[in-house]
Amino acid sequence: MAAVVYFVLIPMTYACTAIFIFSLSWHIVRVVSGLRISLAGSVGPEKRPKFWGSLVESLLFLKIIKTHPVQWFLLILFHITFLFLIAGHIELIGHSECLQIVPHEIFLGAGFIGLVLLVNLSFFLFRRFHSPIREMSEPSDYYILILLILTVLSGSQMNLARSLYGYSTMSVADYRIFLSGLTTFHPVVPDVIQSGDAGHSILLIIHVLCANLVFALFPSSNLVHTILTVPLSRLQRH
Amino acid sequence: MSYKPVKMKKRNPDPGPGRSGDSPSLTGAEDVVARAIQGLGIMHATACMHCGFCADTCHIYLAEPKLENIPAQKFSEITRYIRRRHTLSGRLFSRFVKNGELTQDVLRKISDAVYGRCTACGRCTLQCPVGIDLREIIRIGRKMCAAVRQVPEGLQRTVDNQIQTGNQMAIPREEILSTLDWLAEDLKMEMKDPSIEIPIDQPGKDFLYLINPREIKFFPLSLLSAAGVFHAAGASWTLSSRWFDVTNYGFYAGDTPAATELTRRVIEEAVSLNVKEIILSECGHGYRSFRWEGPHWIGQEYPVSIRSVIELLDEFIRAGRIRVDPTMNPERTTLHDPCNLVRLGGIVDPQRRILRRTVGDFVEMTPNRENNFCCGGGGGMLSMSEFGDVRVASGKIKADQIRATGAKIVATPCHNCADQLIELSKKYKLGVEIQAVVELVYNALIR
Repeated sequence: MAAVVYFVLIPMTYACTAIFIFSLSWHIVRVVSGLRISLAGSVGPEKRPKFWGSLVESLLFLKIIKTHPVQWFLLILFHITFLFLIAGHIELIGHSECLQIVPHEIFLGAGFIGLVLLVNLSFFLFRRFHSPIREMSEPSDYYILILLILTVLSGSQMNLARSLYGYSTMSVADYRIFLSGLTTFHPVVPDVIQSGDAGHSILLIIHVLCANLVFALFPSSNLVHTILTVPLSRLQRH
Repeated sequence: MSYKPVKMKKRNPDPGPGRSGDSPSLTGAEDVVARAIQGLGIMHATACMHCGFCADTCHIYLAEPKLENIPAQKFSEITRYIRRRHTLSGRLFSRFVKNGELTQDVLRKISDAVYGRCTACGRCTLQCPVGIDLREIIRIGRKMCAAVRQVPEGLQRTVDNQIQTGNQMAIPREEILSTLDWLAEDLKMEMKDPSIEIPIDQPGKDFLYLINPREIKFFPLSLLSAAGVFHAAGASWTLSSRWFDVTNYGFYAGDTPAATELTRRVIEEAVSLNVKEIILSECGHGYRSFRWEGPHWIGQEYPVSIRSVIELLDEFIRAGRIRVDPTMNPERTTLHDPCNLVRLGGIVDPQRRILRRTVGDFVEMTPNRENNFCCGGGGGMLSMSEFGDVRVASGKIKADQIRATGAKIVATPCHNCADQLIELSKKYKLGVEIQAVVELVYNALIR
């Protein structure tokens, strides 16, 4: 069991992160060069402002704000919450003054971030059970959503355990040892996790496993929309 | 005959699929995708989240809510092929799965989707939160089909007509000249001016006027009106008896070499007649193809400028070159926005300014402008009898829009749309008259 735990937390994390970073870089290079070629060949009336227009349109989902206001609200909420989630993980790596402008406990959001994400992801998943989205969906649409739900669920539970029922065996310091070790290439699995005595350490392992799989599947899934949306909107404006 | 090349911004060379004769080889279709994949273009198909937001933007889906009518579904076969052939994971696992293989059967499915269930109106693109240009993917699908001669028979026949005879309806030159002759006689009587003529092949004029062959055959009043308005404005213009066709069915078919040839002929004719400008008759896809796509196809900017007659009429009215009286058109009139002219062409306000000056009671449809629904007759649908049922059924959305305005006249700056709207009026008992914008201007002329 210790070997499995070690494999998931260290080598697999490095491998999946490497896949994610290389594929993301490849996609970015591909998008930049592709955008240049496409812009040279684009035809039709221009729409201004080109860059800022595409940025605002993409980030605020302006295309569906009038026609699907409920989905628009949930999408906006989901993406904003995702940004908070990233900030929260940065704070788990090490102390950040700028993120503590508004003083708060770690993890950021007092449990609400995970809750909001879960509500959103569940909505996105259950929406797929209804026609015609059900027939349109491909297997990858489901497994990415399920992996994200499992990641958020296990992550939220780790956070809520401390605030809701005073769980304190695994502290923020333990997470920091683990995450800062990974980022400085001196990986350490804290004893409290490795020993399996911590109870909730299994949640950390599920959390990391699912997150690793999301990272690894990123390049072959439609999650590439994260880096395509702004360039595509820009292309439509020429 | 050749015209002087003009330097222009370097564009992405798009030699098109090439006409592959009757060869069933799929190489042409594969080449189309391989070329498209170089740009950002088709790669974005793989980013589709299958969210379904595009569904309720499509008039074909709204009229018949079936899975295969959802815009994102229409290119699903193309996306599968791209994933299999042009992504790392696809290449790694392609030997284990058949999904995404390009076969004659798959191409037939693509052909059915891109020609028979889509008018390439681009409305779905307006609502894709990821920013996917769904219309562009549909066009790539059409290019794939054109490369392997999978274009529906009616549309292919029209392209061939246009290439072989110079006009999509294959009207003989003698018939054209005789029609123009009696139209000129009619105009003289209507305007009570024996000096009026319809100039043909006259060099050195300000502009060459391109018309839709349907104006010669079925809508001569539209051509008569244009000639009358040009006369009233004191315009210097000419028609060509050789290359006069404003339409470009190569564009509809996805047959880039044919589209290029049709564009090149007209530009050369304009140069040979030594005109300063080409004015395009009321035609949505004609405007899109000549104004926007043409320079891309022939690889250089035109030596003459290009405008729609709508822009010219707007200029005549605003400059006071013609005087109009809106009481001459007292009936309630609404406006249909052709997709290729408005959403994809950028001509949005001139026709509205014209109608406000020439019509007594002008009302907008809802939605309108760039958000307007396709009439159902776009994308070459009118030439493909095999998809007639889909075309008429999908026009119900437009019919409902028209009915809601309470209008008696529907103005549309596109003869293709006019054909469809006439059929919709009969089918859905709208009791409306369809008129070109120039006809309303002619009616309102203070002579």
